[in-house]
Amino acid sequence: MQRIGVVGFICGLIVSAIFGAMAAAYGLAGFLEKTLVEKLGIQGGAGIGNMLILMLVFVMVIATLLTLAERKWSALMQDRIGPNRARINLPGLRDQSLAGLPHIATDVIKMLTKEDFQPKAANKFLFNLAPMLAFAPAFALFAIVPAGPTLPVLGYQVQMSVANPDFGLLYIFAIASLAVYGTSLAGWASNNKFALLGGVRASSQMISYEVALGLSLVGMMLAFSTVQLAGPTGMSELQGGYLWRFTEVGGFDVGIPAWGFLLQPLGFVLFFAASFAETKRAPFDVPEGESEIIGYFVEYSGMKFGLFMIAEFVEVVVLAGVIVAIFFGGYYLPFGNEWLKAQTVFVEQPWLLGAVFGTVFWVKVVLLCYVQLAIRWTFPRFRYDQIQTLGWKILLPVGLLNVFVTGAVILWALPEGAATLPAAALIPFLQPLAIVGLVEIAVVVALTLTPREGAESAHADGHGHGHTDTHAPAPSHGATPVASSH
Amino acid sequence: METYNPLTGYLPLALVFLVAGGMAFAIPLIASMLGPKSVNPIKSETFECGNVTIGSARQRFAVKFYVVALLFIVFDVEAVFLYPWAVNFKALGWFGYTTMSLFAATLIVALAYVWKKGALEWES
Repeated sequence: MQRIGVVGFICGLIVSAIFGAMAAAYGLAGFLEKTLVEKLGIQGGAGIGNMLILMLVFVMVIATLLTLAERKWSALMQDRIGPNRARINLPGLRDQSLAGLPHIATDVIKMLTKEDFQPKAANKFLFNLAPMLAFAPAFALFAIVPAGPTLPVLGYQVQMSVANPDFGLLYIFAIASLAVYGTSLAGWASNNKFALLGGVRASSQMISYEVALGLSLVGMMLAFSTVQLAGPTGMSELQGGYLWRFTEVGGFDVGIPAWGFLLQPLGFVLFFAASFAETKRAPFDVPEGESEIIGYFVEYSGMKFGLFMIAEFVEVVVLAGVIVAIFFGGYYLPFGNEWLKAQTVFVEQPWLLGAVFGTVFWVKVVLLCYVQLAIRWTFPRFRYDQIQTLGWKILLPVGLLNVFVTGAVILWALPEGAATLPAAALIPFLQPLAIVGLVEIAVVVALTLTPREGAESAHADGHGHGHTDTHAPAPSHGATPVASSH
Repeated sequence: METYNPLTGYLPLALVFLVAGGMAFAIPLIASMLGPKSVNPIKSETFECGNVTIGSARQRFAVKFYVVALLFIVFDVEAVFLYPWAVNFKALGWFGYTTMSLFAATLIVALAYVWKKGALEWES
């Protein structure tokens, strides 16, 4: 009971910290926007403020905490304790493991004070360039993901994404592709056969899955007719609408929201699988495979290895953010959004509303980070031919099929002349698409619950074995096999 | 201030690139200044599990990786053509849908050909 209380208290602490930071983010963004417009006459101050808070604080802090969370959660799954040895030598904290938090500090200090080492055979320039090319794109990816709605703060409309370019999602595809250079250059420049093997595996895997990655989101672009994530016609904002609106109890709106994973469950699965392969984490970790080839960063040590590692965790956070923004309603709750927006306190203080929605966004992101870590520690590593088969023979054809089935359903449901209506007014016409999506989800659930052929035969074998056992000249029950063989 | 400059939206993006590049450059630089320096010939050897390195890693590797790269270009360009169609999809209607289906059909034929030719097989 006490443990549940502690966990609940810490969760509350984290949520209130997120809330406070998001309120500060709106305040800073509004202040910078106002200052820049009034002093210099240029817009874009909000984006600079958002870069400071969203990217340098939120993404980097969550990524840093994930390095510890990965070790702690994997320990939880494997019935271990996990890192708990590092101590802070201060009064009151002397014998506290603090859930392993000091390990983050020790890791940073250790990596910063290691020798900056280059193998003799390596190409020096490319060897040093590779970790930068791995880290910089991963970090820059978050720039277009909105963490909150656009709201008036200090008299200016303040967006809660760093930038909202017209090309939206294409930015993600473009920048994510750059990460290939980091891995392939690291593999080649190290001049090590294992690194080369890891490098070509990594680059080949990443470009294979990029095709499926690109196709998986076309369905969402068809549904919402946009490639933008942020802004009034962006995907995150449109997901605040309802497909079916059931009732309003005392002004509290309830319905089935137009969330991406209801419209495009197949697209979501494709995107999740493909982007998981892009992050090169298990089950797609053949390029690294720490038990066999170590991978493209085998020659890297100290902070250069640290850059590869932190890039991986930043990718996890960014991936969670992108998935939330496209498929899980962005910063919106599944119900009650309009009720929240109509509250007097939020009408008078819009930044409070933004902080509430921002908290919703980051809580979803953290939950999705947990899902990714759970997948990483649950599934065994694929063989390389299985990875390529999945990418080219399953995800690519299914992705193409998904695009054209989605398109046909949307066009069939669209009434004459509706194309000129604003995007938000078109959401109810996506109902047939959602029905198709629900059928897809039901099929997946049914397939998951149906026992597989192999599993059943194994069960039958076990049963048969037990049957013969009862007829065997019975060794005493409870004796170990070793003991009974004596 | 009154006139809308379309480039101002890209100012934060430019800053993001600067910060990302700056961090990626500065972090290893700080580490190399803080860390010790002791070079010796054994340590500078290529690390291949403690074995003496035989030959260079600058050698040929499986042609399959090149094939994947070629296929990637073909099919990723297809995906690029899909995006503008997807954004204007509702306005283009069934005409656009049919046109795009025909375009995708040629690539499905290509995929079937590549598949049949065994370019996607890794077991052999």
